[in-house]
Amino acid sequence: MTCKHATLLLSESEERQLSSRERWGLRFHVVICAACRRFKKQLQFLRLLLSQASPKMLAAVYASDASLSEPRRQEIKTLLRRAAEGQ
Amino acid sequence: MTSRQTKEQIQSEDPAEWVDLYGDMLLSYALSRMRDRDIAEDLVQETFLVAWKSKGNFAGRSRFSTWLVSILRRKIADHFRREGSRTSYSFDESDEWEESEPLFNKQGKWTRSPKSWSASPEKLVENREFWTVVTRCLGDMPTHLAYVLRLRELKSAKTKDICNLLEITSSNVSVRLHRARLLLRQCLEEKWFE
Ligand SMILES: [Zn+2]
Repeated sequence: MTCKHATLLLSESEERQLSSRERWGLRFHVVICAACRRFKKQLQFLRLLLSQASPKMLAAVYASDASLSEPRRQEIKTLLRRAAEGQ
Repeated sequence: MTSRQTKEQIQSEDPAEWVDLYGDMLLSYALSRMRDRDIAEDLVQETFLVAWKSKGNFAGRSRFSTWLVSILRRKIADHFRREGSRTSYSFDESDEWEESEPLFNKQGKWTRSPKSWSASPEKLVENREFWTVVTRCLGDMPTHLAYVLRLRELKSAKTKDICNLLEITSSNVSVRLHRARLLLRQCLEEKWFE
């Protein structure tokens, strides 16, 4: 089993019951592959975290996030000043 | 600064000041119509440049901010028109999305191995900066992927309900969720856990 296939099965195991053949193949791959072991942990981590996201927090983030990033702000100012000078 | 500026004021002003006065307002307008932050900021930038070039057209009858929004609105419409052909493309379930930087090599191995994340979920749940990064990561991925992930993970929707809602098969939902999780994982690893 490749890492690509293993990650697909790890993700799908949250959506459907894997066949016993898939389960065994996956179990074996995860034992020998450190990268996929870490991926598996990350998936569980994300799942836990996202399921606990508070709607209040998300609403606050969306509201406060509507501010131009500082580099972009400077970039636009520079472009405008340059345009003004070139007039 | 008054909300109603005369034509003369606008003409004589340092245009760089517009950015502080109207930049955030324009960005939130753009973000209310699209989730992709980079594109939203691009459009705001284009709006200011067009406004500078065509400031002679500002009649001073409406508010300057209203005039800026009308330019932005045209920019947004142009953007979606350009995207039109590409949007249907992004609904394609092929492997094209991996092209820019493949996650796996030809042998199906990770090109960059995931790292181990050392963070406590309990603390992150309360961390506003973290959720800012999460929403930006969701905004950066193709809309149809972010959408299923939001439904499934943030709203705990059942796969079956997502199938019914979007009228797609459960294997389509699984594939989309998988891609969305891979992208979110990668984005968080780059923008938060590093
Ligand atoms: Zn692997």
